[in-house]
Amino acid sequence: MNTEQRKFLDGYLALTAEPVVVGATSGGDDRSQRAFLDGFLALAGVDQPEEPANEEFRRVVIDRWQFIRWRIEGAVSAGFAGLDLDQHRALRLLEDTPSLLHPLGRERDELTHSALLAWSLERTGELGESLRAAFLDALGLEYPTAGWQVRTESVLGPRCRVDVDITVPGIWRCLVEVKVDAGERDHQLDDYRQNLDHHCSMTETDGTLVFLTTDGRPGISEARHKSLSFRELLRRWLLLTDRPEPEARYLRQWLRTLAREFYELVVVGPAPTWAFSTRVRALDFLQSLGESNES
Amino acid sequence: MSREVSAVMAFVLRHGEVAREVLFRDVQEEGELPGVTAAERAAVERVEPHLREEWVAILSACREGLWRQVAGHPAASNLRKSRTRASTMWRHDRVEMPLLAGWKATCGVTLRPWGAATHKLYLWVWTQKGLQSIAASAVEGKIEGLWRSSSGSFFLTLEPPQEGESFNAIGERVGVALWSLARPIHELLSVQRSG
Repeated sequence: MNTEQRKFLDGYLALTAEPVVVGATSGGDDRSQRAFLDGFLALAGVDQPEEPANEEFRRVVIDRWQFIRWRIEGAVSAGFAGLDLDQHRALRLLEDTPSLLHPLGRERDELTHSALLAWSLERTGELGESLRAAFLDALGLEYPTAGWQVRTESVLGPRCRVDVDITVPGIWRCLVEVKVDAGERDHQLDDYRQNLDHHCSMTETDGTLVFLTTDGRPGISEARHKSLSFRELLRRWLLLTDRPEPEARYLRQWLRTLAREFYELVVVGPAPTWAFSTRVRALDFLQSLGESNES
Repeated sequence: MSREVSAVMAFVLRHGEVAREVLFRDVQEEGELPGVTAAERAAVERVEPHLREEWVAILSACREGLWRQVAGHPAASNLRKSRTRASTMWRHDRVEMPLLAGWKATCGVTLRPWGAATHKLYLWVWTQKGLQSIAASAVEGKIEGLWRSSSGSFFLTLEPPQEGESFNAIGERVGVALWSLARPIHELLSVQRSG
């Protein structure tokens, strides 16, 4: 039996297997009729005109929307039911922590985020070590986590100032350009790269240029750089802030700002009361906690 | 493309949050939404280019509607500098225009559900923090339906585009309402800044 004969037979069997329901306007009998017709036309060798996209959308999505909706909402609820302990802990941290920058109206201020990134990277003790290790891991790099010197608004030359400048003397230098809403100026990353390469050749150290944005996009420049998203920082750092010291609390509040302002993770009140899109975003985020390096 | 709101677009707008999550999801970037079947995703992917084109056309019509209202006004030259790209209109549901030089104040239109069951047309004016109190004195208590977001922006809410409604008609009602909000703010801020 060839493919056309098979399709015809399948459609015919599907059609005859369905009881006729008086008054039914959509659902299984519609689909069987369509399958039968498709098979019949294929068998007859007639080229069937392709169903217009809006008709297919109406048949597959609009006509069955209520069922699709129930199914999706059920699947999202099941996703929450399947969260592990760390994911629950992350959810609690997002729920319980106020946003640091919201009362100041500085939620999208690049300089403020740069300053907080630099502040985080130069913390001392176990917290600082773990933050630096996670930062390096996010970039796929291996360098010591001790001896970091971190500056903000570092002037590299005329019209060349980078947001965060990290130096591990004799080993590594990393320039981080932060973008929230603004775009790159012409040759911005090229200028940083050139400056960094010059410095590294003089000091015989490694150099990394990082482009940190809300969506993790690469820079438009062809200069060698690594792209990183705030979401990736949030993902890697959130659980590290579940510590009692005040510095961890500050950091958690900043991460809460990132979650709220950049990724619309506005998780307030019990989960069943959240908007559907919030539940989906929260689930996406929580499920990504266990994933490996994105960069 | 017809210059009227299609049945598919009207469906999306009527079904707010869930429809938006299904239809606007970047599956390659974000992964599939739980519970969506391959057949449903295929149907969405086929209709998406048409929906995207219509979405951009509606938001562009809103911008053109405001441009028609401001013809001859000193704000027109700034407002016409809007360069919101089609990709932004689709991904971020909005079109934005500079109301003052240097983007110290902007205005625009956002078509979103924002947690509600259906989409709405949100018309807004944003100003830098330091200009908010002046802007507030221009409009607060003077425009019916005015509300402010937590970040201090000024908002008016309009009903979403309806099936069969022409893009021109949408642009017209948006342009009139948005200008009623943006004009007094622009004029008072211009006076204060020149004085």
